[in-house]
Amino acid sequence: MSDPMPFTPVDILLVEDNLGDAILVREALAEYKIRNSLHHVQDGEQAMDFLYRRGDHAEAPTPGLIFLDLNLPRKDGREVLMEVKSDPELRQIPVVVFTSSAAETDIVRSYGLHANCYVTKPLDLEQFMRVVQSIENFWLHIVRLPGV
Amino acid sequence: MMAAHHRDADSPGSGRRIFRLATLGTAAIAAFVVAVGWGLDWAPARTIVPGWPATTPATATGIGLLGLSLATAASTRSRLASVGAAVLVLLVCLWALVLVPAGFVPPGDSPWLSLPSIATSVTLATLAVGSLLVSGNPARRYRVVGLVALVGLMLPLHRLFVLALSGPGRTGASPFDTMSLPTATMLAVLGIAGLLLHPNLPYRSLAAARDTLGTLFRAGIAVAVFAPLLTAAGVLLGSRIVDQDLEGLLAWASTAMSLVLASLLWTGLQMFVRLQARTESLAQRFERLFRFSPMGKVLVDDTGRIRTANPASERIFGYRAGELVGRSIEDLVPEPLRDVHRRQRNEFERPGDSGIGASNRAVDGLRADGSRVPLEITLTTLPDEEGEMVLATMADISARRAAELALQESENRYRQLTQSLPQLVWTCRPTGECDFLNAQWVAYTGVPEQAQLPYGWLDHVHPDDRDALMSSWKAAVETGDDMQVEFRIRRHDGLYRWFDTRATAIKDVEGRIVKWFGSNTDIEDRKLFEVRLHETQRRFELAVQATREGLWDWNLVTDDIYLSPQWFAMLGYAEGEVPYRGDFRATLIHPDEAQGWRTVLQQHFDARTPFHSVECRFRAHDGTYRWMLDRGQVVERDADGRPLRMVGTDTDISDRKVLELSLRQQTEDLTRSNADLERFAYIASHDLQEPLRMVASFLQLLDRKYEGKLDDTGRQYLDFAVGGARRMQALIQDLLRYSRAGRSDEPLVRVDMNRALAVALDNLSVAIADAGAKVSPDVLPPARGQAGELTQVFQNLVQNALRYGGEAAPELKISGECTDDGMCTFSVQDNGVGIAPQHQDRIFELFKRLNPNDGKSGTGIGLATCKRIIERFGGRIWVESQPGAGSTFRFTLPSDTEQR
Repeated sequence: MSDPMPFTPVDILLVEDNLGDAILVREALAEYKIRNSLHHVQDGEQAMDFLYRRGDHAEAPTPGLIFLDLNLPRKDGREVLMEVKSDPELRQIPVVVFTSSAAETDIVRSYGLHANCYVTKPLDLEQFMRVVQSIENFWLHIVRLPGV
Repeated sequence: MMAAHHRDADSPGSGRRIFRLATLGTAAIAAFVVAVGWGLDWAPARTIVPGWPATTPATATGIGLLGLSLATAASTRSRLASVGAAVLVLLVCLWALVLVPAGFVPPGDSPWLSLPSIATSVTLATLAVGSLLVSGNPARRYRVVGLVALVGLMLPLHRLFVLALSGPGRTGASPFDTMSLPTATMLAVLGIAGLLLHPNLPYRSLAAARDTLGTLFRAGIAVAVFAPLLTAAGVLLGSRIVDQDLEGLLAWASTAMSLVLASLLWTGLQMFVRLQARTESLAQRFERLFRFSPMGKVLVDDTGRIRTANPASERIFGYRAGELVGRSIEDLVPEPLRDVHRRQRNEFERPGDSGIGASNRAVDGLRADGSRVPLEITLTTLPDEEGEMVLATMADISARRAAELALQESENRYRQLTQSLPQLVWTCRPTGECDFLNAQWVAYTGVPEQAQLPYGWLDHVHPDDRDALMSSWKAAVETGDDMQVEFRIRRHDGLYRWFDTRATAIKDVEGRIVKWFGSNTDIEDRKLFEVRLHETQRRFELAVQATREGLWDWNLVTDDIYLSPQWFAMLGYAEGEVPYRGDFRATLIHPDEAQGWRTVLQQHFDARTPFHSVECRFRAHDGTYRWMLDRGQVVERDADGRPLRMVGTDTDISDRKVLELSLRQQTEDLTRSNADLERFAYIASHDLQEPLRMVASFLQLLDRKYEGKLDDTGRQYLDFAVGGARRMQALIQDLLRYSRAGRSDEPLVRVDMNRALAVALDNLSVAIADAGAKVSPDVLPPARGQAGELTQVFQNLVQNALRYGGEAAPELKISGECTDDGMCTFSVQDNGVGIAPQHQDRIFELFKRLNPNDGKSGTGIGLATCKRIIERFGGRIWVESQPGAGSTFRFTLPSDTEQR
């Protein structure tokens, strides 16, 4: 087990159509004072472009963690999840489904598509921020992932 | 007697001998007269009585020739000689009768050359003609010859009478009184011989003939005998009429005597003829009786020899015609009896006797082939000229014997049969008294047969049935018609059972009743069955009327179909308006269902389904279609399984169909609205929640980031906004829960209520701690439901108790128990504010709250959700409370015990 590298900045991709939520996630991470860079795209196509460095995202880095909303314009979050997990390269990136849906069907389906975890957006702001910070901490500092 | 008759008829007998003696003797005498009388000139040989006229040599020669002719006439061998002699005699007579009167007198005066006299010539000629007539074949004209002989007899007899009465003195009185005594005698003998000319048939059969010729002959005999007497008397009378002497008187007397005797002879002869005819017809009758009798008849003489046997007897003993005659009667007796028969043959009982029985004795006879034949024999005697003969009359009784045996056997069989029949069998006399009851009857009633005859059996008949039975029986006995009647008979154990009794009179050929034969068949079970069947039928009819079912009974071979009145009524047709045809009925089915109907029907025809059952529409009288449930079943099939007959019903299900359709519509509506609700719930949980979350989150963010820059009023406004948003979120959450409550399709399972409560309390741990509440749960029994939902129930109830607590710290008691009725009651008791009775029902309604919306109160959805969940699980929920005295919420659930 190699040592964690807490001070190495990690690129996080946030796929979220709701700008409000994007701001809240950014606020939560900023409050945690971690020097990770958050990349925000608003739909599934942009997410795939980012991951495959296509178009505007030709210079995009490979993210170490993906926050994925399910209800997205143009390309649905479920499709994005399926494509990511079907790609032998991309499938190693942890995908956290982060959505307002608490529907059982969404949960089951997401895990069926090999989502790494499913988190419902808490209604309360305090909780929201704690959850985002917990996720970031867990996947980037606790969990050991294959070297990128 | 038969034999005697035949013997008599067949033998030539004395007549023949006399004939030969007379003819040949006369010829010899004639020769003697010529030779001795004339040749040696010895007068007595010529005259017999001295001085009387002599027989001339010519006459004697003629007589001799005639005698020879007659003697040989019957023989074919000497026919020529006979004819020659007769012709010679005829020629001499012709000369004497025709040529002498014409002047041709023989020359000389010698007696040798004298011709016969006229009388002699006539007689000679007559007898010569007779000889010629019978020459060669005397049987041919013997009857004519007989007459001729009689004629020839008359002149000699006349002359003999004249000579006897007056001697030769009167000779020459007429040309017919010239005959000499020897001539007359010899000619008379030849005449008599002529009568006996026939070799086989004597003159008496000629005299007995019952025809004209016979009558003539009989008259001829009388004439031949008496005419000469009369003529002789007349001759004497003619010569002595004037003398009045003794001779004259004698002549008169003899004449009168002759007439009397002639008439006596005539009547005697006639009587004889009649007797002869009667005898013959009697013989013939006997002969026929004997010959054509169906009974065997045998005549046996005293030596035991069979003298005559009729065809029937030959048939009985198996002999050919004529074979029995001459055998010993013992040949017909079987060996062991033969000796006894021989010894005792003549000791049988004769009429008026008392010896060995001789009438209808049954004995065995021995047939030609050695077999035996049973006979019934009657013996009697018949007188015979040679003694006494025995007539045995016998009948072959083997057929009768066999019939008797068969009868005996059939009677035995019949007895056995009646004893083996399951029925009670009986027989009665023609007058109605019973004389036989079979073993089954005796066993059934338990009373001996004799005690029940002739009318004792009536005691065993049910008292209510006796009168009807007896009147039927009396009627039957009177009319002789068959009887059939049902009545109850008491069994040995006292139980009555129904019997079907039939009686038939056995009648003889003339229609008289010989016997009544009856049988009683136990029909108790059938009776019971009939009653049940009737009940079933009636029940079925009522059911059919009540259920509005039309019946049909379909003959699949002819396509005829019976349709019940109800069937027509259901569709509004008049009875019979629809033809009673299966194919026509099929045309009434709505086109949309016709194909399906046929398919289902065919499947049943092919025996692939046990029943035919289809819902389809039938066209009613008014042109509309009525929904029917067409059901039926093939009830008969042929050996190859092809259906022959099918019966079924049509039930009007239009009402049900309408209901079904509307129900389906409702179900569809409901499903759709449920789906809508589902969508709404999702929208509520996500789309509606999202903006709210934004509102709440950013208000909080605002509060956090700009806390120091707001004054108190600003901060208060911000708090209101955050509170409103949170409350809105709670409402949506609860509403979502409510909408989902009790809608799960998951089956009810055993739920550990302790665990469900524990989860609920854990979820509420913060709130409980905040309220400082004390919760004391008992050990709860398990119940049937769904764990998640029941957790929700407990959570809502506990939350409710915390929310509406009173002044003191909340204290909650949670308990549960199950009762025998399979339900468990759970209760959540608090020490809160309590609820007034008038509000106790309202609190379970949606959005009904008792408290103002002060931010602390609930959404008004929690209890409604509880109610929905509990009711879905088959329980109920209610509250028992008094204001200020706390509340106890109770709910019931089915216990889990019944599933174990």
